[in-house]
Amino acid sequence: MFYNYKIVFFLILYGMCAALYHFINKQVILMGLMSGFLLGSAIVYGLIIIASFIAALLIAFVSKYCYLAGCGICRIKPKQMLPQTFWMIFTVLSYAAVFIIFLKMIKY
Amino acid sequence: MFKNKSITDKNLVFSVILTLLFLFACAGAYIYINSGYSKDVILQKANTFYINEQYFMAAKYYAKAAELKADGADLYRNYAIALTKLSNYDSAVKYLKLSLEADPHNPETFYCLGDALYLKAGSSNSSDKFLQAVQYLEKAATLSPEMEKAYLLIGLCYRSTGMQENARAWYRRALLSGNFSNAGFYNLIGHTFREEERYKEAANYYKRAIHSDFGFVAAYCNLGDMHLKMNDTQNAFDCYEKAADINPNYIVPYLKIGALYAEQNNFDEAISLYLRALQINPDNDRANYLLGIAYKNIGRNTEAVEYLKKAAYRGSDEAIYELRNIGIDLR
Repeated sequence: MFYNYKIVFFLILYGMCAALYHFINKQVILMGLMSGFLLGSAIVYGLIIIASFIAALLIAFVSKYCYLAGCGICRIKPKQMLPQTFWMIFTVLSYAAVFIIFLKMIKY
Repeated sequence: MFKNKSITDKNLVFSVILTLLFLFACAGAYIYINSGYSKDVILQKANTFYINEQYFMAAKYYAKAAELKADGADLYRNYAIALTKLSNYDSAVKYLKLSLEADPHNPETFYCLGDALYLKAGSSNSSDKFLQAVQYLEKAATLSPEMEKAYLLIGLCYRSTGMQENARAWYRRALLSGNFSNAGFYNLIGHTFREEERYKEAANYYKRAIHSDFGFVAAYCNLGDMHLKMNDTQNAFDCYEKAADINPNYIVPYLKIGALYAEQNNFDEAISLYLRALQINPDNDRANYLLGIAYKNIGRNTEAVEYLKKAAYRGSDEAIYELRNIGIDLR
């Protein structure tokens, strides 16, 4: 499973959000707004986690029911995989969010 | 954190490698995208945004152009003006000073620097900043004596610090230069006396403004105000009526005459004038407020509340206060 040491994942994600905030701050600073680096990066981190969590929850439940329906049709005994599925989707979405925001910030 | 698990756990190693690949992909994307940028293209886009008054995008692109080593007095000045529009006065001042280094005798740059300092002074209420602004504006006026806006802003700066005499000196200098409309500057000199509560002298200059331009409606209203201050109601009335005759679509005289009638408890006349004013500009908060008060004074509370609410929604603090007194809280 991707990052079975979950705390390591969250630390690395915070590091990436801090780097991302550096690019966001370059534009925010044009309007004379001076938020602290720690506060700004924490806000970005929080928003990415919340958004990824909600999206991952929705996708995980949808995929769970699709999987159960498929198992029912194929008459296979379903396995309990929801926590692992949710975690995998969550980590992928978090990285995707960082990448998309990063591209948006560096594109002119 | 690593209970019963080894740091060489295959899963952890695999995860770290994937993360490192992800970070390399980001770095690669950054280098690839940045290498494709030409400073001239970025600058051109910045100028387009600037011309279209999209100041945030203009500032963003000017910042990128500066990062790509583009420079020049015009770039720095336009960037600074965009930053001024975004209320980022400190950075604006910094880039205007860079523009001055590149082009030390540009009056427009001196003016923009004075303007940025003036706006900064206004937001922080700092007399020092107003006087700093004046230094640059005076330089702009010296380099370009036909720059009317420099004289106007110098006057505003001095008046903001209570130095009305200095403001008058610059307004008189503008008059002597012969480059501008006398009426406007006589009117401004009148304002400086008004701010010092020297109403007779203010009236004198408002009259000069009128003699320079008989169609100067605002000067008639200002003169009327001075007559009121000197307790000469009849002359005030005459001035406001003259203003209304010259420009029937100027709302202020109707409000002033209406206020005079209201003071004499002639609320019916006052109401008809306020309604006339609202026909010209239905969204004027002052007109709505005065009409609401007039209706309140004759006991027509429904109409009073209606117009006071309109005034409140259009930004009248007095209307909000009045409604609270009646027992209506708009929150």
